[in-house]
Amino acid sequence: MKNRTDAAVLPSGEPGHLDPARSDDGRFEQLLGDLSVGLVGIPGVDLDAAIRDGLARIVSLLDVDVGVVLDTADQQIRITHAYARRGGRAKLPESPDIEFAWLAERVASGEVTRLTRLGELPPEAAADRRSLAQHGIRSAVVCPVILDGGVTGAVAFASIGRERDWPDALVDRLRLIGRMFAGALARGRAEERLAAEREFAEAVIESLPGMFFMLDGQGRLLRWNKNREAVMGYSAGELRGHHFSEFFSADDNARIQTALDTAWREGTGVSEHHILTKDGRRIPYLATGRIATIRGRSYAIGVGMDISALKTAEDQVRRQQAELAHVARVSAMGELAAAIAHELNQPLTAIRTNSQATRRMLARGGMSAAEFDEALADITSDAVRAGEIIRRLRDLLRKGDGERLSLDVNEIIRAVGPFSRADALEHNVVLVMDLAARLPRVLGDRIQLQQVILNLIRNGSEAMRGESLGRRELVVATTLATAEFVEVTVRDGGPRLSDEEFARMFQPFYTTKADGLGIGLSLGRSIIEAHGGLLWATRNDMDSGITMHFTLPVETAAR
Amino acid sequence: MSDGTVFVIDDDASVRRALGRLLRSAGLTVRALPSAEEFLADPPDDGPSCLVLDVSMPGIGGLDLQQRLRAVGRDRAIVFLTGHGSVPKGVCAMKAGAVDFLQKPFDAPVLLDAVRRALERDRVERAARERHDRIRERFELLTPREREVLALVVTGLPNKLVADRLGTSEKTIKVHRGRVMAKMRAQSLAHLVRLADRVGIRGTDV
Repeated sequence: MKNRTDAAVLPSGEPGHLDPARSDDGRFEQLLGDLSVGLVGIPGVDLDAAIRDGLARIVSLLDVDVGVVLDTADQQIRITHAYARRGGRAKLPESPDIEFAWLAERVASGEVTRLTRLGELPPEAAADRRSLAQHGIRSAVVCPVILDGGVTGAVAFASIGRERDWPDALVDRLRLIGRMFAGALARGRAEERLAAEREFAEAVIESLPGMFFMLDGQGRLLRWNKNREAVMGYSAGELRGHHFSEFFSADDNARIQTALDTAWREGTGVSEHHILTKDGRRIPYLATGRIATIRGRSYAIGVGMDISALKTAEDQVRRQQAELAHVARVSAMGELAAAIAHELNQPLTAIRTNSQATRRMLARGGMSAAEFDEALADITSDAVRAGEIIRRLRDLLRKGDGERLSLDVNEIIRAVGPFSRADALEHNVVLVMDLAARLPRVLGDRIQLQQVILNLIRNGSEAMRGESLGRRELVVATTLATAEFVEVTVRDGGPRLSDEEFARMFQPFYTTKADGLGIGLSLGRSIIEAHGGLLWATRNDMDSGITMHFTLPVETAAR
Repeated sequence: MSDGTVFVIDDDASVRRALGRLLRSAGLTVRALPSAEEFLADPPDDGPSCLVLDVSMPGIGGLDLQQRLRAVGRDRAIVFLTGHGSVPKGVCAMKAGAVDFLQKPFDAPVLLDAVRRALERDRVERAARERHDRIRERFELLTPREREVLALVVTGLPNKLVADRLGTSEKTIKVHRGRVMAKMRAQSLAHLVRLADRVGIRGTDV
């Protein structure tokens, strides 16, 4: 309403035509100043309202009817802000670049279009003229906004009721306003993007399952996530800026420092240690991190995981393995004891029988010196034999668990011979040894290898339980399979295994025996593999039984 | 007591020698063999004997040998020796007629006692077998007609009814009956019934 007054006071080219740009009352200058200050300091979310408000003030000041801000990004003209006075004819075009194709072209080429009346439009702008007329527009100005050397949009003002002039000074000011709007919008968009990035980073950090950390070059904690506060029990104030060493035990700190040094040097680092909580608990902790340079400064950034569950699981597995090994050992010892009992029985029986027979004969006086001597010689040799068994037993149990010694495989097989023969006898099995001459030595643990061989012989013997006598033959053979491997085979004449049985025979706890644990073969395989060899089974031809094979690298190859 | 041979079968040479020495000290005749196969390859003749047999031997074990001998009707009195007291095996052996099942190392008197019992059982069984064989020999002398008469007579039928059954005269039956009594060397009807029973004739209803 003020504008009308202005118009009356300050007439321009035409009577009643208001042109504040030419006025000297400075209200347009005031508006420009307000806008430039207001748009700069405003938060992004309030920007749209501020621009519309600015448009309203300009429309009012110029005494026109419509003001719009256009954006030409993506090769398309879009109305981003609009203001229409008097509430009428506020319907905005949906596709300005189609309805106003000629004008759009002018905007794109950076040209200002001033229309005091529609008749000034050239013939090729017939469509634009029609569209303008439909909107009731009689006079308009369209000022492209050029930022950083390119057209980014435009501001346009239009008069509905009447025709008017758009002098140069006004156009210059409108272009300036256009640049102010565009600059503010660009800054708002950048701010929005930045805020989105910041929120995204925050969300990522908080979504981490572990404890986030960001340390500066001095090792002070700059950023962290809620997980860290929750696990450690410290508040933000107790964490911010504190040196990492305050949260670990003294003996761990040296290790952490080493990992950090590595990270600073090589870009990444890993460390496993314990983290101390505020209430004094020690939590197993695995930290991985990398060096990140942000705006010229380097930081150590990464995540630490509470690995208690993992540690517990690891401990459990280790304990189970130990238990399994113990069970296997106890059962092996039990079997060994039975084998020894059987072996010692023979000479003890002979000694006892000979002694009693000799006493009986002496009592009757019917024994010659030669006979007496012969009986005593038998007793002596059986006592020697019993002693020999004890000696071999000591060999078998000789300490040196895990120790790799130079061994003769044939010698190991011969040493277990008496014990395995006891097993074979138990099942009426004939044990045949077919040992290669001049076999190279291997490196290994004597006791473990003996266990494997005994186990294979026992399995083979038991497999033939149900077979007719002629087939109960177990052949233990050694060969030099290749220049690098000695191969031991144990061939039985047991029943043919089904595909399923054959496939499952190496699985732990799979057994076909009523009293078996089912760990012999899988244990044997681990022992052989630990020696750098392989343990496998093949089915014999002719429908009978299986052959167990294992290889051991010869001493030179193993080294 | 020196009556009979003890066959010792054990794959352990030393145990074999010791057993031989002990058994000979008791005045027994001993034949020691290293395997059941050797025993089967050269089976001893039918003289008085018993077996001392190791259970666990390569190839044919003690229990296998026992079963094989039974299968061919040559049951023997057997004392088993075992290195470890396997109860199921012992039960199995005893059920199959073993005299004893001893765990090594055993006490000499215990073994000798078992061997004596084995020989005694062998003697008793042998005597029974011989008696049976003798009666059988007499029975073999009877004609088919005389066997028919014997089968009816031992059921207690009087001569008249036997004659009716066989479709002949009482007089003829009397003659047959006299011949049967003579050939079987029976002193009385009761004696004849017992003899017939030994060879498996229990009076038939013809």
